[in-house]
Amino acid sequence: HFKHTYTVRVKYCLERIYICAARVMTGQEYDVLFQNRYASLLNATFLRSLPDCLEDSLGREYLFRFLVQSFSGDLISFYERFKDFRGAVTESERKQIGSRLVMEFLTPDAKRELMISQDIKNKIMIKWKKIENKAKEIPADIFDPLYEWMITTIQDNSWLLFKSTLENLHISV
Amino acid sequence: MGGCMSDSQDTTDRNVEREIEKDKKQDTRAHKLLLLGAGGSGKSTFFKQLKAIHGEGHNDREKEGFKRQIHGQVVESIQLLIRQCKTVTKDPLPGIKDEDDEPFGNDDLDDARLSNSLKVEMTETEIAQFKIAKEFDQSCQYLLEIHGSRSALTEQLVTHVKSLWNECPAIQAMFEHRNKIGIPDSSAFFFNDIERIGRSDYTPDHKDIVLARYRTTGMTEKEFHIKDAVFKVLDVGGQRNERKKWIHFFDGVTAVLFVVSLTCYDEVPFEDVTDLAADVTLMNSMLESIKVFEDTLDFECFQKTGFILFFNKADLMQEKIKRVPITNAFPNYKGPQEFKPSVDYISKYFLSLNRVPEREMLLRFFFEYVLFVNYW
Repeated sequence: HFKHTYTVRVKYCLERIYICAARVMTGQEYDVLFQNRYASLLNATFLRSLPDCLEDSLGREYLFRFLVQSFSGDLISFYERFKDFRGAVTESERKQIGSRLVMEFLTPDAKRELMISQDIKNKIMIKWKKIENKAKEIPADIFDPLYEWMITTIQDNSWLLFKSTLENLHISV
Repeated sequence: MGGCMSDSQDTTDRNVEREIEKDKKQDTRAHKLLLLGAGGSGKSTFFKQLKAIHGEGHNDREKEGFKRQIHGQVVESIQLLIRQCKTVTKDPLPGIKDEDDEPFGNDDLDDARLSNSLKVEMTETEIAQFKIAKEFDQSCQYLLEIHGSRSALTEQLVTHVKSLWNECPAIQAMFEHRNKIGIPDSSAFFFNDIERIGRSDYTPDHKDIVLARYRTTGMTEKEFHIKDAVFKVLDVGGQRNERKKWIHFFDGVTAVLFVVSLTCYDEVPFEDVTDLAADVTLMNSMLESIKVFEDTLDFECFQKTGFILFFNKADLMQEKIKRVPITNAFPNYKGPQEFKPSVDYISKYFLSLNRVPEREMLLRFFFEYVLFVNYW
């Protein structure tokens, strides 16, 4: 249960406690043990922009925790599936992941159907059907409009709040 | 030394416990108000208003965020207007040679929702009014090539938007059908003021912030202290897929603030927007609001919870009622096509949906984002 409900604040505080404990127990500085993570956490350079945050593994961790906390976890599920699709090497792999993506996020009334305009949805669905029917090569950028929509949605709804939350935690700790 | 440390430890522990107790008390004292309503009803606008009036207002960073949203709304709206004009007139999109954008043959499409987006039943004369003249090709191409709608408004972008909005009759004609294609009313305000909002030193004022439209996802929570009372207000997304999340917020609710847009009786819900062929009498956001309201009233946990029904956009309704009767959503309405009797009918209709007489139901109305107990 805890795994699904803890907040960004709890995550941040536990991480800081862990840093202190690791220092006491090992006699070494935490930055020696986990250099990149430590630097990233203290400098929070990933807060510069949303794309920076998504590129940074620690930034992603914290942002995803925040999105779960604010009931926008569906965006993370989409992002992970999208990254899988973009990283697919073979055509069959791309087709398999693409089909799942369409089924999970674009099919009407699907549990995780994205709140995207019919305009964009139809355009992608038509392209996808064409690919399936005519066995055409799958363009790697076919789902990019969904990614752009995801970025806009996070920007509009969560980014500033997330940034303020982390900055406030930095100040208060 | 040990004793000293233990004493200081005890003091710290006691302080922490005191803090936790204080937080707990505050939490139980807070009235949890849940903002509900269908998509586009104005829940987040109400939330923004609360923040401006009873909260700490909007700081510079938030204003920067609103600026991005406003710029995004302008780009998104103008792109949608161009695309819809091109769809209706079956004109190719300028500069776009992608074969995948070509329409399908009937044999390729078995999904009615998809095929619906490609057909518009209109006379030749009706279609002609949406034909964008050749002289605007460059503007259309420039605007359609913008990817990611949250681009800053450059000088060039402002010029193209201004030219299409002010000089292209097809765009104006399409905007008249904004209720069917999901373009917010407030986009006209931003189009008209494009030079001001496109300036590099532009900072959104209160009106701009209230008029900025974006779709809420997830949940945002904020505490407001009004006189001696503490209110915890929860704002949630209203679109269909967002409503699946509502159940998570129902615990310990003091009152539900249910927001209804008075102008949505001829507007196609966001999820059903396709093109001008949409029949607003079959599905419109008012019918959706009624359905959502009924479903919300039926929840077991809300049987004893007070409801405040907020009828929003009353000022816009005063204008709309002159052109569009409410019979789109209320076919049994036989009264005059006037503001007061129409609003009376709508509010009574909503109140009649409450089947628990002891449940408290209050009505409130918004005029130009100002709250009124009555609308006369």
